[in-house]
Amino acid sequence: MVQLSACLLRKIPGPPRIYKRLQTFRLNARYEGRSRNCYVVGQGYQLKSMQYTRVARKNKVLDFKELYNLRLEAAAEEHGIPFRYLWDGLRRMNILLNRKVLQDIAIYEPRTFAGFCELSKQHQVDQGLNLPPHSYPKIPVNTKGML
Amino acid sequence: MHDRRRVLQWATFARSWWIFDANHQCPFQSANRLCLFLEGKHKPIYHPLSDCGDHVIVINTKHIAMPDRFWRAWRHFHHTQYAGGFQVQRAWQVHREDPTKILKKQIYSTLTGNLLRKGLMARLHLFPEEDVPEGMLRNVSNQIRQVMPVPKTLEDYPIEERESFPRVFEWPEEYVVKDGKEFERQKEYLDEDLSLSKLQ
Repeated sequence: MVQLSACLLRKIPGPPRIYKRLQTFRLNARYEGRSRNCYVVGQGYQLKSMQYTRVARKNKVLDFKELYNLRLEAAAEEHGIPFRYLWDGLRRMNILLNRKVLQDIAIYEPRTFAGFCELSKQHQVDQGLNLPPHSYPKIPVNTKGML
Repeated sequence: MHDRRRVLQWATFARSWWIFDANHQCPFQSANRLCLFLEGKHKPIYHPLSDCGDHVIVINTKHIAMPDRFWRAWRHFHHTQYAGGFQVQRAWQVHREDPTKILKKQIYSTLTGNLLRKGLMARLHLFPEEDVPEGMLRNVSNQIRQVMPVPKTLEDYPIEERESFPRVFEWPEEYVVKDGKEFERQKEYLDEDLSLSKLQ
Protein backbone atom coordinates (compact mmCIF):
# COMPACT_ATOMS: atom_id res chain seq x y z
CA MET A 1 0.00 0.00 0.00
CA VAL A 2 1.18 3.40 -0.90
CA GLN A 3 -0.07 6.05 1.47
CA LEU A 4 1.95 9.14 0.98
CA SER A 5 -0.27 11.29 3.09
CA ALA A 6 -3.05 10.99 5.65
CA CYS A 7 -5.70 12.28 3.26
CA LEU A 8 -5.22 9.30 0.92
CA LEU A 9 -5.88 6.90 3.80
CA ARG A 10 -9.65 7.31 3.48
CA LYS A 11 -11.77 5.52 0.90
CA ILE A 12 -11.67 7.48 -2.32
CA PRO A 13 -15.19 7.93 -3.74
CA GLY A 14 -15.87 7.12 -7.41
CA PRO A 15 -17.92 9.29 -9.74
CA PRO A 16 -21.46 10.07 -8.57
CA ARG A 17 -23.98 7.24 -9.13
CA ILE A 18 -26.20 9.49 -11.23
CA TYR A 19 -23.82 9.39 -14.21
CA LYS A 20 -24.20 5.63 -14.60
CA ARG A 21 -27.95 5.97 -14.32
CA LEU A 22 -28.07 8.83 -16.82
CA GLN A 23 -26.35 6.60 -19.36
CA THR A 24 -29.13 4.03 -19.04
CA PHE A 25 -31.80 6.72 -19.27
CA ARG A 26 -30.11 8.09 -22.37
CA LEU A 27 -30.04 4.68 -24.08
CA ASN A 28 -33.67 3.95 -23.13
CA ALA A 29 -34.98 7.40 -24.05
CA ARG A 30 -36.98 6.11 -27.01
CA TYR A 31 -38.85 3.48 -24.99
CA GLU A 32 -42.11 4.11 -23.20
CA GLY A 33 -43.41 3.61 -19.66
CA ARG A 34 -41.29 2.68 -16.69
CA SER A 35 -38.51 1.23 -18.85
CA ARG A 36 -37.35 4.77 -19.62
CA ASN A 37 -38.08 6.39 -16.27
CA CYS A 38 -36.98 3.73 -13.72
CA TYR A 39 -33.37 2.66 -13.56
CA VAL A 40 -34.02 -0.83 -12.20
CA VAL A 41 -36.63 -1.65 -14.83
CA GLY A 42 -34.56 -0.06 -17.60
CA GLN A 43 -31.42 -2.09 -16.88
CA GLY A 44 -32.86 -5.24 -18.48
CA TYR A 45 -34.06 -3.36 -21.52
CA GLN A 46 -30.65 -1.79 -21.98
CA LEU A 47 -28.93 -5.16 -21.78
CA LYS A 48 -31.34 -6.74 -24.27
CA SER A 49 -31.06 -3.84 -26.72
CA MET A 50 -27.27 -4.10 -26.68
CA GLN A 51 -27.54 -7.83 -27.44
CA TYR A 52 -29.82 -7.11 -30.38
CA THR A 53 -27.44 -4.44 -31.63
CA ARG A 54 -24.56 -6.85 -31.57
CA VAL A 55 -26.44 -9.33 -33.76
CA ALA A 56 -27.69 -6.58 -36.06
CA ARG A 57 -24.18 -5.29 -36.63
CA LYS A 58 -23.35 -8.52 -38.43
CA ASN A 59 -26.71 -8.92 -40.17
CA LYS A 60 -26.52 -5.40 -41.59
CA VAL A 61 -23.35 -6.29 -43.45
CA LEU A 62 -24.91 -9.46 -44.85
CA ASP A 63 -28.06 -7.60 -45.91
CA PHE A 64 -26.04 -4.99 -47.77
CA LYS A 65 -23.97 -7.67 -49.44
CA GLU A 66 -27.15 -9.36 -50.65
CA LEU A 67 -28.49 -6.05 -51.96
CA TYR A 68 -25.22 -5.27 -53.75
CA ASN A 69 -25.24 -8.71 -55.34
CA LEU A 70 -28.81 -8.20 -56.60
CA ARG A 71 -27.97 -4.81 -58.04
CA LEU A 72 -24.76 -5.99 -59.66
CA GLU A 73 -26.47 -9.01 -61.22
CA ALA A 74 -29.03 -6.64 -62.71
CA ALA A 75 -26.39 -4.18 -63.90
CA ALA A 76 -24.19 -6.86 -65.47
CA GLU A 77 -27.15 -8.55 -67.15
CA GLU A 78 -28.01 -5.21 -68.82
CA HIS A 79 -24.71 -5.51 -70.70
CA GLY A 80 -25.24 -9.20 -71.46
CA ILE A 81 -22.83 -10.84 -69.03
CA PRO A 82 -23.71 -12.75 -65.83
CA PHE A 83 -22.18 -11.12 -62.76
CA ARG A 84 -20.05 -14.09 -61.77
CA TYR A 85 -18.29 -13.93 -65.16
CA LEU A 86 -17.78 -10.19 -64.79
CA TRP A 87 -16.39 -10.63 -61.27
CA ASP A 88 -14.05 -13.38 -62.46
CA GLY A 89 -12.85 -11.25 -65.38
CA LEU A 90 -12.17 -8.23 -63.17
CA ARG A 91 -10.10 -10.34 -60.75
CA ARG A 92 -8.12 -11.75 -63.68
CA MET A 93 -7.45 -8.24 -64.99
CA ASN A 94 -6.31 -7.21 -61.51
CA ILE A 95 -9.09 -4.61 -61.14
CA LEU A 96 -9.69 -5.11 -57.43
CA LEU A 97 -12.88 -3.11 -56.77
CA ASN A 98 -15.23 -4.36 -54.10
CA ARG A 99 -18.97 -4.86 -54.48
CA LYS A 100 -19.96 -1.55 -52.92
CA VAL A 101 -17.78 0.52 -55.22
CA LEU A 102 -18.84 -1.50 -58.27
CA GLN A 103 -22.55 -0.96 -57.59
CA ASP A 104 -21.93 2.76 -57.01
CA ILE A 105 -20.24 2.87 -60.41
CA ALA A 106 -23.13 0.93 -61.97
CA ILE A 107 -25.64 3.50 -60.70
CA TYR A 108 -23.79 6.81 -61.03
CA GLU A 109 -21.30 6.05 -63.84
CA PRO A 110 -23.08 3.59 -66.14
CA ARG A 111 -20.65 4.16 -69.05
CA THR A 112 -17.68 3.20 -66.89
CA PHE A 113 -19.49 0.08 -65.81
CA ALA A 114 -20.26 -0.77 -69.44
CA GLY A 115 -16.54 -0.43 -70.13
CA PHE A 116 -15.75 -2.89 -67.35
CA CYS A 117 -18.21 -5.37 -68.85
CA GLU A 118 -16.75 -5.11 -72.37
CA LEU A 119 -13.17 -5.40 -71.12
CA SER A 120 -14.07 -8.37 -68.97
CA LYS A 121 -15.73 -10.16 -71.89
CA GLN A 122 -12.80 -9.49 -74.20
CA HIS A 123 -10.22 -10.55 -71.64
CA GLN A 124 -11.94 -13.87 -71.05
CA VAL A 125 -12.25 -14.47 -74.79
CA ASP A 126 -8.53 -13.69 -75.21
CA GLN A 127 -7.66 -16.16 -72.50
CA GLY A 128 -9.70 -18.86 -74.22
CA LEU A 129 -12.36 -19.12 -71.50
CA ASN A 130 -15.95 -20.06 -72.23
CA LEU A 131 -18.73 -17.47 -71.89
CA PRO A 132 -22.52 -17.95 -72.10
CA PRO A 133 -23.69 -17.80 -75.73
CA HIS A 134 -25.23 -14.30 -75.46
CA SER A 135 -22.18 -12.83 -73.65
CA TYR A 136 -19.56 -12.75 -76.40
CA PRO A 137 -18.45 -9.20 -77.29
CA LYS A 138 -20.31 -7.91 -80.36
CA ILE A 139 -17.60 -5.39 -81.20
CA PRO A 140 -14.12 -6.74 -80.44
CA VAL A 141 -12.08 -4.52 -78.10
CA ASN A 142 -8.49 -3.94 -79.14
CA THR A 143 -6.63 -4.48 -75.87
CA LYS A 144 -3.11 -4.33 -77.43
CA GLY A 145 -2.14 -7.06 -74.98
CA MET A 146 -2.15 -4.60 -72.09
CA LEU A 147 -4.71 -6.28 -69.86
CA MET B 1 -31.02 20.88 -59.76
CA HIS B 2 -29.70 21.32 -63.28
CA ASP B 3 -32.23 20.65 -66.03
CA ARG B 4 -30.24 17.79 -67.48
CA ARG B 5 -29.84 16.09 -64.09
CA ARG B 6 -33.55 16.47 -63.42
CA VAL B 7 -34.46 14.69 -66.65
CA LEU B 8 -31.90 11.97 -65.86
CA GLN B 9 -33.72 11.39 -62.59
CA TRP B 10 -37.05 11.06 -64.37
CA ALA B 11 -35.60 8.71 -66.95
CA THR B 12 -33.97 6.51 -64.31
CA PHE B 13 -37.10 6.03 -62.24
CA ALA B 14 -39.60 5.94 -65.11
CA ARG B 15 -41.75 2.85 -65.41
CA SER B 16 -40.99 1.19 -68.73
CA TRP B 17 -42.91 -1.50 -70.63
CA TRP B 18 -41.51 -4.85 -71.74
CA ILE B 19 -42.83 -7.54 -74.03
CA PHE B 20 -42.24 -11.28 -73.74
CA ASP B 21 -43.11 -13.92 -76.31
CA ALA B 22 -44.19 -17.11 -74.47
CA ASN B 23 -44.30 -19.20 -77.63
CA HIS B 24 -42.82 -22.64 -76.82
CA GLN B 25 -41.46 -21.41 -73.46
CA CYS B 26 -41.44 -23.29 -70.16
CA PRO B 27 -43.88 -21.47 -67.79
CA PHE B 28 -41.75 -22.22 -64.72
CA GLN B 29 -38.54 -20.77 -66.12
CA SER B 30 -40.47 -17.89 -67.74
CA ALA B 31 -42.05 -17.02 -64.39
CA ASN B 32 -38.64 -16.76 -62.74
CA ARG B 33 -37.44 -14.33 -65.39
CA LEU B 34 -40.65 -12.25 -65.54
CA CYS B 35 -40.68 -11.80 -61.75
CA LEU B 36 -37.32 -10.03 -61.97
CA PHE B 37 -38.84 -7.42 -64.26
CA LEU B 38 -42.03 -7.03 -62.22
CA GLU B 39 -40.07 -6.52 -58.98
CA GLY B 40 -37.47 -4.23 -60.58
CA LYS B 41 -34.60 -6.61 -59.91
CA HIS B 42 -33.30 -5.98 -63.45
CA LYS B 43 -32.24 -2.44 -62.51
CA PRO B 44 -29.05 -1.43 -60.67
CA ILE B 45 -31.14 1.03 -58.59
CA TYR B 46 -33.18 -1.81 -57.07
CA HIS B 47 -34.19 -1.56 -53.43
CA PRO B 48 -36.92 -3.64 -51.79
CA LEU B 49 -38.61 -0.50 -50.40
CA SER B 50 -38.59 1.50 -53.65
CA ASP B 51 -41.36 0.50 -56.02
CA CYS B 52 -39.27 0.35 -59.21
CA GLY B 53 -40.87 -2.57 -61.07
CA ASP B 54 -41.91 -2.41 -64.71
CA HIS B 55 -44.93 -3.37 -66.81
CA VAL B 56 -44.68 -6.69 -68.64
CA ILE B 57 -46.81 -7.76 -71.60
CA VAL B 58 -46.81 -11.50 -72.30
CA ILE B 59 -48.09 -12.72 -75.68
CA ASN B 60 -48.78 -16.23 -76.99
CA THR B 61 -49.52 -17.69 -73.55
CA LYS B 62 -51.73 -20.24 -75.31
CA HIS B 63 -48.62 -21.74 -76.91
CA ILE B 64 -46.50 -22.33 -73.79
CA ALA B 65 -44.65 -25.63 -73.55
CA MET B 66 -44.88 -27.63 -70.31
CA PRO B 67 -41.83 -29.81 -69.65
CA ASP B 68 -41.91 -33.61 -69.54
CA ARG B 69 -45.35 -35.06 -68.66
CA PHE B 70 -46.52 -31.92 -66.84
CA TRP B 71 -49.61 -31.29 -68.98
CA ARG B 72 -51.11 -34.38 -67.37
CA ALA B 73 -49.26 -34.44 -64.02
CA TRP B 74 -49.27 -30.76 -62.91
CA ARG B 75 -52.33 -30.09 -60.76
CA HIS B 76 -54.18 -26.93 -59.74
CA PHE B 77 -56.06 -27.13 -56.44
CA HIS B 78 -59.10 -25.18 -55.30
CA HIS B 79 -61.27 -25.37 -52.19
CA THR B 80 -64.57 -23.55 -51.75
CA GLN B 81 -64.27 -23.77 -47.92
CA TYR B 82 -67.48 -25.81 -47.83
CA ALA B 83 -67.56 -29.52 -47.06
CA GLY B 84 -66.72 -31.53 -50.14
CA GLY B 85 -65.66 -28.39 -51.97
CA PHE B 86 -62.23 -29.62 -52.97
CA GLN B 87 -61.41 -29.52 -56.67
CA VAL B 88 -58.41 -30.66 -58.66
CA GLN B 89 -57.71 -29.82 -62.25
CA ARG B 90 -54.89 -30.98 -64.48
CA ALA B 91 -52.80 -28.46 -66.36
CA TRP B 92 -54.35 -29.27 -69.72
CA GLN B 93 -57.85 -28.76 -68.28
CA VAL B 94 -56.93 -25.40 -66.74
CA HIS B 95 -55.23 -24.35 -69.95
CA ARG B 96 -58.28 -25.18 -72.04
CA GLU B 97 -60.56 -23.07 -69.81
CA ASP B 98 -58.23 -20.06 -69.62
CA PRO B 99 -55.02 -20.08 -71.71
CA THR B 100 -53.41 -17.39 -69.50
CA LYS B 101 -54.10 -19.01 -66.14
CA ILE B 102 -51.13 -21.39 -65.83
CA LEU B 103 -48.55 -18.66 -66.39
CA LYS B 104 -50.47 -16.22 -64.19
CA LYS B 105 -50.69 -18.61 -61.25
CA GLN B 106 -47.04 -19.58 -61.63
CA ILE B 107 -45.90 -15.94 -61.56
CA TYR B 108 -48.18 -15.25 -58.60
CA SER B 109 -46.65 -18.07 -56.59
CA THR B 110 -43.09 -17.13 -57.60
CA LEU B 111 -43.48 -13.54 -56.38
CA THR B 112 -42.78 -12.89 -52.71
CA GLY B 113 -45.93 -13.12 -50.62
CA ASN B 114 -46.27 -9.58 -49.32
CA LEU B 115 -48.59 -6.61 -49.69
CA LEU B 116 -46.83 -5.49 -52.90
CA ARG B 117 -47.80 -8.64 -54.77
CA LYS B 118 -51.26 -7.46 -55.80
CA GLY B 119 -49.83 -4.28 -57.30
CA LEU B 120 -47.11 -6.17 -59.13
CA MET B 121 -49.66 -8.59 -60.61
CA ALA B 122 -51.68 -5.61 -61.87
CA ARG B 123 -48.65 -4.63 -63.99
CA LEU B 124 -48.63 -8.02 -65.69
CA HIS B 125 -50.65 -8.15 -68.91
CA LEU B 126 -51.24 -11.62 -70.37
CA PHE B 127 -52.63 -12.32 -73.82
CA PRO B 128 -53.35 -15.79 -75.24
CA GLU B 129 -52.48 -14.67 -78.78
CA GLU B 130 -50.67 -11.74 -80.36
CA ASP B 131 -53.69 -9.41 -80.33
CA VAL B 132 -52.37 -6.77 -77.93
CA PRO B 133 -54.31 -3.45 -77.87
CA GLU B 134 -52.53 -0.84 -79.92
CA GLY B 135 -52.37 1.71 -77.11
CA MET B 136 -50.59 -0.81 -74.91
CA LEU B 137 -48.20 -1.84 -77.66
CA ARG B 138 -47.22 1.78 -78.19
CA ASN B 139 -45.75 1.91 -74.66
CA VAL B 140 -43.45 -1.05 -75.22
CA SER B 141 -39.80 -0.04 -75.43
CA ASN B 142 -37.93 -3.31 -75.03
CA GLN B 143 -38.14 -7.08 -75.32
CA ILE B 144 -37.35 -9.72 -72.68
CA ARG B 145 -35.06 -12.49 -73.90
CA GLN B 146 -36.74 -15.89 -74.16
CA VAL B 147 -35.71 -18.60 -71.71
CA MET B 148 -35.23 -21.30 -74.34
CA PRO B 149 -34.83 -21.47 -78.13
CA VAL B 150 -38.06 -22.04 -80.07
CA PRO B 151 -37.87 -25.42 -81.83
CA LYS B 152 -38.46 -25.53 -85.58
CA THR B 153 -41.45 -27.55 -86.74
CA LEU B 154 -41.54 -29.58 -89.92
CA GLU B 155 -43.67 -26.89 -91.59
CA ASP B 156 -40.97 -24.25 -91.00
CA TYR B 157 -38.62 -25.97 -93.44
CA PRO B 158 -39.17 -25.29 -97.14
CA ILE B 159 -40.69 -28.11 -99.20
CA GLU B 160 -37.57 -28.55 -101.34
CA GLU B 161 -35.44 -29.13 -98.25
CA ARG B 162 -37.95 -31.58 -96.82
CA GLU B 163 -38.11 -33.64 -100.00
CA SER B 164 -34.38 -33.55 -100.62
CA PHE B 165 -33.70 -34.95 -97.13
CA PRO B 166 -32.35 -38.52 -97.49
CA ARG B 167 -34.89 -41.26 -96.70
CA VAL B 168 -34.25 -44.76 -95.42
CA PHE B 169 -37.35 -46.13 -97.17
CA GLU B 170 -40.60 -44.93 -98.72
CA TRP B 171 -44.16 -45.82 -97.64
CA PRO B 172 -46.01 -48.25 -99.84
CA GLU B 173 -48.86 -46.63 -101.78
CA GLU B 174 -51.70 -48.37 -99.89
CA TYR B 175 -50.32 -47.37 -96.42
CA VAL B 176 -52.48 -44.78 -94.56
CA VAL B 177 -50.23 -42.22 -92.84
CA LYS B 178 -51.40 -40.82 -89.48
CA ASP B 179 -52.41 -37.16 -89.59
CA GLY B 180 -51.11 -36.34 -86.09
CA LYS B 181 -54.49 -35.43 -84.59
CA GLU B 182 -55.03 -38.65 -82.64
CA PHE B 183 -54.28 -36.99 -79.29
CA GLU B 184 -56.85 -34.23 -79.81
CA ARG B 185 -59.53 -36.77 -80.67
CA GLN B 186 -58.61 -38.76 -77.58
CA LYS B 187 -58.81 -35.61 -75.43
CA GLU B 188 -62.32 -34.80 -76.65
CA TYR B 189 -63.36 -38.34 -75.94
CA LEU B 190 -61.99 -38.09 -72.37
CA ASP B 191 -63.82 -34.80 -71.68
CA GLU B 192 -67.17 -36.26 -72.65
CA ASP B 193 -66.88 -39.59 -70.89
CA LEU B 194 -64.79 -39.13 -67.79
CA SER B 195 -65.82 -36.89 -64.90
CA LEU B 196 -63.25 -35.01 -62.77
CA SER B 197 -63.63 -37.41 -59.85
CA LYS B 198 -62.44 -40.32 -61.97
CA LEU B 199 -59.31 -38.39 -62.95
CA GLN B 200 -58.40 -37.77 -59.33
